Amino acid sequence: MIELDQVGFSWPDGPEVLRDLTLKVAPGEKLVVLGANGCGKTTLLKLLNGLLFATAGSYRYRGDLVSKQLLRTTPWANRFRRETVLLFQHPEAMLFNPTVADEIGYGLRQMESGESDRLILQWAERLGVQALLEKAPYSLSGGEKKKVALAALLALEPRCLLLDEPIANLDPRSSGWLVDHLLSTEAAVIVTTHNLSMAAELGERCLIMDEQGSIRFDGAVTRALADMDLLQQANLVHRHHHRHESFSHSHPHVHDWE
Amino acid sequence: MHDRYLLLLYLFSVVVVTLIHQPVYLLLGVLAVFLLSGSLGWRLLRKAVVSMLLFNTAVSVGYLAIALMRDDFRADYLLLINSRVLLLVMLGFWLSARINIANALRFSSTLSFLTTLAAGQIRLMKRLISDYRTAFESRCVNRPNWRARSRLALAQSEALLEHSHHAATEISQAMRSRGVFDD
Amino acid sequence: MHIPDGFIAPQVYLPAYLVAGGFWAWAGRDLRQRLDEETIPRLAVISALAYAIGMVMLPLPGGSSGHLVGIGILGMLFGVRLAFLAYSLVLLLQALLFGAGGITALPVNALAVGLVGASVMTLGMRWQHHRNPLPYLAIAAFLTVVIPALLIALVLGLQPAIAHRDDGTPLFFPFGPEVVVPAILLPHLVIGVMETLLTLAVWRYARTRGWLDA
Repeated sequence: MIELDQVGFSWPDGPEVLRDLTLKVAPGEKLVVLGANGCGKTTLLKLLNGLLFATAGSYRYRGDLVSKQLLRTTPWANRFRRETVLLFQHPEAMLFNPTVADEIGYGLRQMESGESDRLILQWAERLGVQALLEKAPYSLSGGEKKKVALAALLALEPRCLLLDEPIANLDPRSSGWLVDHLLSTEAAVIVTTHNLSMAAELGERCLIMDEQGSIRFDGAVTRALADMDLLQQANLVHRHHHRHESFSHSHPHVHDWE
Repeated sequence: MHDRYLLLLYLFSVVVVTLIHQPVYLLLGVLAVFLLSGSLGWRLLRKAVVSMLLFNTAVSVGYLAIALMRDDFRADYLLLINSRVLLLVMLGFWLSARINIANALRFSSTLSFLTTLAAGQIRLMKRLISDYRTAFESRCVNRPNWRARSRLALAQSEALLEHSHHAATEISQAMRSRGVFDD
Repeated sequence: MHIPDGFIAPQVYLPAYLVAGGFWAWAGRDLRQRLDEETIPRLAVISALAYAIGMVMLPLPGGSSGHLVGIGILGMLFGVRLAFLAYSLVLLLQALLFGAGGITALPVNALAVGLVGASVMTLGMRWQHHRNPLPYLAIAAFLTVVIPALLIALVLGLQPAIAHRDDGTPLFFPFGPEVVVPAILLPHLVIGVMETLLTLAVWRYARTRGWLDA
């Protein structure tokens, strides 16, 4: 479904953010992307969503070479936008409709779905935002905004879900719902996170990016999380003095996963 | 639809109020808005009085002083201007509490988008300004001098510009991602 | 400058809306042709910036503070059309969303501050590539505060002449220009100096970030 072949990305007159990424994602596959701040995870997702374009190598979506020109081709662009959706790390940027109901229904109405009203209510209930349907998005809390943005994307029933730090700012109930949904959906899922528990929960394949924007590891999550050296080199674990009952010491460890 | 009608009603009311020059009718209008506001009535009234206090006190005291000096004081003017301003301010607060302005402006999708996006960004920027101010207070051991306060103003302005630059790009990408600009 | 509703006569604000409407159509003309993924987000964010900049407190001599007007900064960075539209949108949001009122003063503020203020700064920016641009930019930045303040003072000062009872009792703002102009202008002269310094500092910063139009 998704094929990256030696993809690189640099900003104009700027640093190289992604380097030599070669990657395939099959339909329905669940992929977690781990990496320290600034390693290019968000840039990768934006590239996969056709918002940025590779400055080296090629990106193919369902066999078609994704390019600026192709995204100007209306039928192809419409299909791509419906099938591949991106949840931004800061959902404020995504919300531009007058009410929550309009926000969730935006994509559905573009697709001229005859069941918009039913689907809006259905997804609002699933994300627990049905009481907010008539509210203006800008008046919501950070967590509520994220849930509304998610509902708007999931309502399209996309083939590929790109999620940038999806459980940040989400309450435990909503996070739990989301993890269950991601595991059960037929869509391909690519999630970026710092949270190693999240990676362990999704349980399939994991990509670890290094601080140069390259892929340091691509394989089973369990193997990655068992390799403390790898995690330390990728700046995903930390070391500081801490106590165990009567003694204290320092070693690489994480707090959010066992 | 409901929001749009309320907005039109508000605009019509504003024009009507500025055509009325008898304080008794304006005060009746204040009473009407107060009663129509239900449980919000006292809060609306208090908020309106506080918000008009500074400007209206300055104007009223200034008028009093100048009019007395010219021996041209008319008490009904003070009643007129203050009751009119009170009514208009209460109407404004009543409106903002009642409607979703982006919804009221949905006859123009551009205006509606702009309103929603701008309102969201305003809240973020307000928080940014507030964070800088409280952090500054937290870090000032002694009363800050003019130079330090100027630096804060500059830092806040630069932070706002940086945020704006980044936000415009993010919003553009997010809207593109959701197919807003596709045909 | 925030003027509560009720101080400007309908004989002034209704025609002012017509005049402002013409200028909004002019400013939006180019935008309508390019309502694209850059213009809408940019205008929304600039509007938010116009609001937020007004929350920055300028330290004044004597320990007091005044609010930044910010139209000089907006005009400098975005040109007169976008700055004018953004400032107008902010006035609308202040009146209708934040309940701050000012719907009757909106066209006067939009024209005086948003249009005239931004135009003055844009004119001043013609000298930004001059060998020594600072004096020109400083004068422009100062005038973006003072000229709109003067215009607003004149509009307010004319209210007693425009709308009054037969016996001369004012119906809206009560003071003539001989009172209002010095009352408004004098503090704005001080604010203007502070705002000039800040605008120049922001100009330097924007230049290093490459944000200034060529």
